[in-house]
Amino acid sequence: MTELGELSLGYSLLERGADSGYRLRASRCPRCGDVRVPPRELCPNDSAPCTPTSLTGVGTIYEAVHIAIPPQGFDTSFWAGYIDLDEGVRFFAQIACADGEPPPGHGQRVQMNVEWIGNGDRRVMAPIFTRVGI
Amino acid sequence: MATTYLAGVGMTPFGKFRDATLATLGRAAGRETLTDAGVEPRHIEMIACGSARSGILHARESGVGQLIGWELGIEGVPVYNEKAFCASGAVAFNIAHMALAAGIHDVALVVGVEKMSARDGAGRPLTSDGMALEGEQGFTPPAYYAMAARRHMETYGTTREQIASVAVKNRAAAQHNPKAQYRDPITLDDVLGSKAVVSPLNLLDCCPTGDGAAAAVLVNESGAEKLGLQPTIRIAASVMGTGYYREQDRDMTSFSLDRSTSRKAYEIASIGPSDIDVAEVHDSFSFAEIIHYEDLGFCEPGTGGKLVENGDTALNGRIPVNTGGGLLNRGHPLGATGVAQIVELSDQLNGRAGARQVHGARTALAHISGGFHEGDFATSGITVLAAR
Repeated sequence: MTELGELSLGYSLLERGADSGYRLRASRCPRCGDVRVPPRELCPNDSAPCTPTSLTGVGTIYEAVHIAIPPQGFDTSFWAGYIDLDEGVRFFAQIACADGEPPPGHGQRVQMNVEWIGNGDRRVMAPIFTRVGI
Repeated sequence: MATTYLAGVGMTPFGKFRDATLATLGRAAGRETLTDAGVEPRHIEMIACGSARSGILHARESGVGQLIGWELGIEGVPVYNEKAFCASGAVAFNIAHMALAAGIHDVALVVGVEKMSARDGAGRPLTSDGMALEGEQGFTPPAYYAMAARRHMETYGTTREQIASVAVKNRAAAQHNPKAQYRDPITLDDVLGSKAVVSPLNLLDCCPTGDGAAAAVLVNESGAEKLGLQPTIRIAASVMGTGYYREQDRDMTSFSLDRSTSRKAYEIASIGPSDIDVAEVHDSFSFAEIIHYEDLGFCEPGTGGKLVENGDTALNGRIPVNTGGGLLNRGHPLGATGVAQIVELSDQLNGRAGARQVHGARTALAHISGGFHEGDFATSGITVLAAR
């Protein structure tokens, strides 16, 4: 089973939380509090060694678009966009939108689920954000 | 620092040429350029070559500049191979400019080349090397610009028609450029009715992939003197920059990297945006041109849509932009584009642009964006050229 990050970073960005739900691997700088995904070993602000942490994936859509012509590795169109996670990280991910639902857009609150996306050897378990209250 | 000049330019037609190779494309552009400059291969003291995808597409990660140099009969000189996404050719130009300005070399050949028509996954948007993690989740470059477009539309009221009018305007210019990949005029309805790619961008809002090469010979004062040349165009500024990756709450209605590089270029050239007579900007997607107007200082933030709607950036407008058709229509063989922009501006400043000539053009600007990294652009480049 391939998880997000393994194809590009060489390791999974997902980890299982205590409640057995998925969380997103991140780093936090103990000196300035800067949070980054993917996690960094050294803080970009002050070069301090960072501490591993994980994020639940709660945030707000900065902007979302419908990718009608998907790139290689994807069979069907999908919604995706930048999510501003509550810890200060902007994260690109797919966004769930079922037929008949209003389109995802700026300012909508979201939470992270994890599902299979893509096809063939590019198929990965990855975050898909769902809107809260829709 | 020595003053540097453009001594000659040349390019192949851009398009899809099944039998062309990096070698034949580069050779054709190089020979045209050497002839234009009145320079022999033996006069070239260095080569700078930009090619973004030669490794993944043609199993030649390194050595494209050596390949083309030898096709032209050039050997024994330093060759700098530059890889900077869509800005690869622009970085090669910048390297040559710096070497000549520093007086290390006096005569340089710059080549940009790409052969993309034969690739795995043709017809689908390219992913970006600098966004591999996002690529696992389906990220594509048009998605980035589409998000910026939606923010701009919501923030400033920019309309879908204004965005589409960039594609119509640039195609109108391309019909006069015999080397452009697409030359048949199109209408707003054509753009709005073309196949959806990433909302709000449709197929005719997106640049094609293709094959092509462009080249330039640069000299400094010593080079011009020893070769007996009287170059007509001075390189007033050549500036490169990389993105601001620290920022995680980036406002996508403006690209701060382009603001930074263009301000530096204006300062070096001792001019302002109002001095620019003609410009080439990185219209990989129609909306991008609108945001570039604003970041380059051609208009106030939020008014780029009105600028194109009013015709200010058309061939006969106040500041014509992408007179060669832009990436949208001239085509976008990645590594070649940065040098092709220089070819177009050189033709404009030398008064040999034919039906697309901007009359009286004396000062020109080229802007290019290259790739992504950490949610910002990996590279941005600005060149300012001045007629002597």
